[in-house]
Amino acid sequence: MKSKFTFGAVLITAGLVYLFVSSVEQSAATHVSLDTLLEDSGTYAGRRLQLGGCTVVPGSIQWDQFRHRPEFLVTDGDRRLRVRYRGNSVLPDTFKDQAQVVMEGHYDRGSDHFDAQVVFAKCPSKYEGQDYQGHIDAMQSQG
Amino acid sequence: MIDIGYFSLCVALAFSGWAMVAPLVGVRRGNESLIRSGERAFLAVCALITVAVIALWNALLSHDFQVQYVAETSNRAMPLIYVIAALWGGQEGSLLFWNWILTIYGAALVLINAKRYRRLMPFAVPVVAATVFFFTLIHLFEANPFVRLPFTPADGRGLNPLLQHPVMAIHPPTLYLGMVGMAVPFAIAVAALWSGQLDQTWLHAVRRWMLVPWTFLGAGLLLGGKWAYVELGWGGYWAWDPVENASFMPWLSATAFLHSAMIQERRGMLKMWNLILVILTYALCIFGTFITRSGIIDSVHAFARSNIGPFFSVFLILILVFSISLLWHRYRELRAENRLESLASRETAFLLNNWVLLGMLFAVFWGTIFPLLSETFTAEKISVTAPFFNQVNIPIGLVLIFLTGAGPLFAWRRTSAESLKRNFTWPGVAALVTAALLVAAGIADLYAVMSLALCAFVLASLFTEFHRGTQARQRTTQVGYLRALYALLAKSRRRYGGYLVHLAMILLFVGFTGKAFTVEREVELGVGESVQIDDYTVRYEALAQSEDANKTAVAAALSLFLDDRFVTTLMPARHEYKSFEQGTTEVSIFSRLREDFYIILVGWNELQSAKFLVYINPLVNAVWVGGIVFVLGSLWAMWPTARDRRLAQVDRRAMQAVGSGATTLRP
Repeated sequence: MKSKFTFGAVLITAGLVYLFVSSVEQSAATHVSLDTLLEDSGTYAGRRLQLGGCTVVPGSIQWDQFRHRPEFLVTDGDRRLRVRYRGNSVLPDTFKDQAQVVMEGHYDRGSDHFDAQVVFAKCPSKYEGQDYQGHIDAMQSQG
Repeated sequence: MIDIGYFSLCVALAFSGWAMVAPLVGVRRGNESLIRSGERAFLAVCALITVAVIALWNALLSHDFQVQYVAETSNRAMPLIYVIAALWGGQEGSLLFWNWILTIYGAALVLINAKRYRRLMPFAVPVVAATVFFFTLIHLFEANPFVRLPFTPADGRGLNPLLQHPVMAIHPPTLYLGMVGMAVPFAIAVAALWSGQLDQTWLHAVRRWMLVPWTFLGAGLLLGGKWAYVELGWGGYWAWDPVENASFMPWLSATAFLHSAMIQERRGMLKMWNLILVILTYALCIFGTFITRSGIIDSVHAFARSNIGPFFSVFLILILVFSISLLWHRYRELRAENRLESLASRETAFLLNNWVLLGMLFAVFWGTIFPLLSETFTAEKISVTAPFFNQVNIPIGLVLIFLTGAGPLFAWRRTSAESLKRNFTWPGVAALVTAALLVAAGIADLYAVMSLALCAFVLASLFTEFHRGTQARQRTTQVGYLRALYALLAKSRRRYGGYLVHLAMILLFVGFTGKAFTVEREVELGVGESVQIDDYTVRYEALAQSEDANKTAVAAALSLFLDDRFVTTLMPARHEYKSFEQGTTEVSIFSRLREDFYIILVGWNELQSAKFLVYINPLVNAVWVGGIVFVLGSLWAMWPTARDRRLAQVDRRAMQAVGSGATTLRP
């Protein structure tokens, strides 16, 4: 009895492990910072990437006719990269100048731009991590 | 008023400290009044935290913008309901809200069950009190909602318009009532381990206290999905985002517990396992909060890195270390009373159910922390994106549906071959017929066919359960079919409420299966032009602009025709909120039983031509209906019958007799 049960458990676990491993391979996206990507673009070209730590350069968003798929520049404070949004969904409403963005897609070495399939822009929650002084300044400038 | 709030928190800290210590000292010294004192102290803590919450609400409602939190999360133009909801809209407020719900649950435990589970209380109350103590420490030292600015802003910043939606107002409280509530089953489990009271008492206690948060958690998850669907405009309702996963995982382990608890109840097996599940559920809730608030994992929900991450990780480690050492200590007393007798038994089905649910939990957990793991162990940080979760969870889900149908068809201990044949025949036929019909109708997606066939299997299995039960009742009581059915449902609420929840799961899976058939189209239309998609024709009529105090809006009016008959006017829009410099996308949805016609206004040009995204989402409404059935089924299962109430009264009287020293209870 015990051995039948153990056998079943092992079988199920093996099945799950196989499922995991194959699915990870198919959907993995490597995180890179802008710095790493541009420094080492050979390694990263052709792989699905998740590019984070960038903000949208103010004034760089070029919308198409119907504000669906823009081209824009991102920066990490130092370097810049041109991005083309290729996804189907409407971009999140948080996407605008200076928004913090995380993008999934591929880097096109030939034309030095990033083809983004997904763009996440920082969620509009109120859990801001500013310090007290930063808050005061923000309040006063608005006030 | 605000200083009252802060002051209350200080006093609450002291009282919760007493509530932690007094019962433990009391039980060691046999001093019953110390224990009671600790319990009363906890009730006082609940009152004090309530005072703090009222103070914050008062500040919000009176627009006291000198309070930093009020200035951040509300403004004068916000509708009342969202000013109220701002209590949980920001970091500090939501932590206070969490603490408040925790004290309410704890107070309920003390008030409702103090007499019934007398021997567990001196250990359970300190556990809850310790959690409250922890949260109150955070309020006082790290995330104080009552901080004042050195000046008074004329107006607050307000809540982001994306969050100003009715469903979004109730989603956090519902979710919190779920996540926070898991502290009570945890406290009872720890109390059982600590006190050595490892008979069936703790199991009964935990099961009742687990059902309530489990229901809220499930409802909260679906409410979040509903909000995402109607408000965010990407056509879906679940993205496998880390924060979503964080609240899904405890629901899975709680579900596993609710099932394996039945094995322990019947056969005295899986005692250690059940305790582990309860502890795991609570640990996952704390872990979830940790992920959400610390910024350690990137997420669309992710809030900026704050300083409270370390608090939660330390707390989590303490909980785990403490629980594991208790389990280790009591290991020998948790031996099973019986053994598995046959593979063809309900026990086996339930065990498999647990394995599968935990498999799903592990998959979700793995996928969620993969970036952290890969960063620690390899040079690169790698995320697994949504396809991973779908690819892994769909097969697991299919096995789960099968077990949902198969479980009731097995008998406890051992099912005879004739029973197996008899029980599985009709459901099996239902599955095969469904599969055949679907394939004949041209449906080629293997998973979709399997899913719907298995749903049919479960429906047939449920139907046979209800039917046989009603017939059996009819034989003994000689009443009509409907009366017998009602009596059946009314008497065995746990069982039939549970079956209703299974029915809800089937509805959910049917809804999920519909995603395999989603139709997605981009259309560009000039004014007056129309386009045909499936059975629908949609004609773009006009673009209209409007403005009010809060926002400017541009809406497109479209006429929707189904099979050439006019159905409705759709008005997808874009709103630009003045104080937030940000727009929202207002989706327009036409719902019918079969599917949703879902349209988004992407943009327009100077000629007033516009671009739209259209999704046809088959079967999606099964998800929302399933959600309602889930809550109803769960309520039914929890609702005490008249007999339960009578028994509880007998219990109370017995406990009182013992408590007063009049008699002693035989073990």
